[in-house]
Amino acid sequence: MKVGFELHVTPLTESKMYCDCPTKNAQPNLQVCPICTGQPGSKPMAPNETALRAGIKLAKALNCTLNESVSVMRKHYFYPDLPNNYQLTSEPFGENGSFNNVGITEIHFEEDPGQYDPKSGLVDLNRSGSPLLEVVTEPDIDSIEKARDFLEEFSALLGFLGISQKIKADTNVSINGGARVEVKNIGSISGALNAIQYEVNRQAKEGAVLETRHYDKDTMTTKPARLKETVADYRYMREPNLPRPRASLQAKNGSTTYSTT
Amino acid sequence: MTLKDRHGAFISLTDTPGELAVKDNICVQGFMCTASSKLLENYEPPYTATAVQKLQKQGLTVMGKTSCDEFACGSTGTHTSLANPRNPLDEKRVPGGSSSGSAIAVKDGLVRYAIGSDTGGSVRCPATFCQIVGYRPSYGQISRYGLMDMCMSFDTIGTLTRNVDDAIYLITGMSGKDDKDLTTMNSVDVKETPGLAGKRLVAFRQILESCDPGIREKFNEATEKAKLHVDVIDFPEIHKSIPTYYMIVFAEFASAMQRFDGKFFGKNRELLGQEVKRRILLGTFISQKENKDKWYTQAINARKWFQQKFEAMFAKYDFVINPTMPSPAPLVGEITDPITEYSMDLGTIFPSLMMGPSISLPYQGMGIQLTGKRFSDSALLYSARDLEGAL
Repeated sequence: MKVGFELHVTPLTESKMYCDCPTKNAQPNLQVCPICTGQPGSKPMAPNETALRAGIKLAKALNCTLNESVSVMRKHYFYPDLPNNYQLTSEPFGENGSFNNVGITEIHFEEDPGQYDPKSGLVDLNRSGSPLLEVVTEPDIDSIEKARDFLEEFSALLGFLGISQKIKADTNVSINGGARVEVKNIGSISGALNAIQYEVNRQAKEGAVLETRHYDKDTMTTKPARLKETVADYRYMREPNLPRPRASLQAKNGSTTYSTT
Repeated sequence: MTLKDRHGAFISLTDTPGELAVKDNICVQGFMCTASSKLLENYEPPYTATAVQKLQKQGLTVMGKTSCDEFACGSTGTHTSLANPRNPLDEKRVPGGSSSGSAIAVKDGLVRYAIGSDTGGSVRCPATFCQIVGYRPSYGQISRYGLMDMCMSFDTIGTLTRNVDDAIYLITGMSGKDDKDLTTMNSVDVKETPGLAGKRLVAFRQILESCDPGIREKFNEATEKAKLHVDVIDFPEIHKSIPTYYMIVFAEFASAMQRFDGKFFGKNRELLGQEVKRRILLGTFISQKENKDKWYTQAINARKWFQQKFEAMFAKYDFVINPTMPSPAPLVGEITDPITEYSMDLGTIFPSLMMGPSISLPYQGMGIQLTGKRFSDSALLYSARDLEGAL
């Protein structure tokens, strides 16, 4: 088996990625403003500095090569929890790292979408625009034990760096060189391990097609995603509302600033 | 109050008197913001654009929201089903667009001040056809927070006024840095500066040749009357500014329109007009992975080429001068194909590509446009005031 992760880390910040809204819990749709609800005419503010700092720290700890500056891109797709129908996501600011004998492909920052409840059809935008750091690993993991080791060490690292321990682990699983299946909705290490085990068994029995599945923690199984989540083309475009060239992540003296030159 | 909006200037109007009209793609709390589109007929923005807020703080009251081409897509000012904008000087003719209603409101004396948006001429074109003053600031001079995205890297908030002094008043009031529009971080305050005396002017032969003979005659007459010395130089590539500009507009516009799918904003997309649909489809096509390099990336590179070309030119000259529009206002219904409509913008697009300020002054039925390098707004405004006096 071959397993790789896309780890979404929520750094501890007081406010959201591109606006001043607080990130603490509240009644649905109270921590919102024109920016994080995507009101026509609103523009993103400078990316949250605390989140950028946390990202640099993490990239260094994962032995990544740091890129001095990156652009923020619009990633276009339609989903109920995404008011703009595009998500702001940065180019990788760290690349080619390794951690615990697993290759780190890249790390970038992005914004969380809102929360959509398919049962009620309601959307809560309190989370919309919250900062996320996404760490993508190579598919270097070939056993459940290795997966457990990696996730436990990664979690301990986050704790040590004081970034946060809130992780979501999108998990890619393939067996015998077959198609890669992406499993989403995993919120814990044991969840990830259960999902891997289930997928290995399922794929051995049913075969695998390139698809996205959702993990159900109650039944410890995976189900095909309700909505089509794999888009052929995100039409990536540099966000013109953020000045060129972009977030400067110069980490020489440990400071992270937003460059407007 | 009864107000004689005879030419379709307003989409929404208050009962209280005010001095300021705002194009309906700029958000003002208390007013619907429709972008002149049936799609957004019910959209009530929960906030006010920074530029409007600044003018309100100066004591100006917003009297109403003005009609325009739907989502600012057009040069005639008539691509909308929410109003019927007509040229106050001749009702058979179009008012010019896309900020048609703002030009009409000022021309008809319904307000003293109006603001609009100018992406590739949307303030200067209606100002010319309605014979008033239209000002496009440098990109980054005035916050666009609250201005609906059309083409984000060209969009500006501009002014429509009876004279240059009124434009100076509005531009001074709206200028400045805004944390909510990071492209304003290098904005420069507008200050009184020496005017036109000693300024070096240049005109492009290819733009002059693209104008009607009558327009060219008036232009020459105006420069003679104002005793301007103008170097006329060849710039054959200027014709490429139109496809360069429109490729970028289509791609960014398709991205900007992505949110109006009826989920949070907008009603059924069937309600969109033909020109808006055309731009969304073309923009989606040219920004797709397999087409991007052939179209979008090429246009981005061409823009860079133009920027470098202009930077070299502004080492030698202070301002570019040309007729704003190549012909008089077309008759309503006269223009039926988009290519003809886009080609009307040859004189107004190049300032957008190089991010500079540009002003159009009325002169005997046509417009005289002056364009400066980026953030030369003060020099341009005070030079334009001199030119206005000399005409």
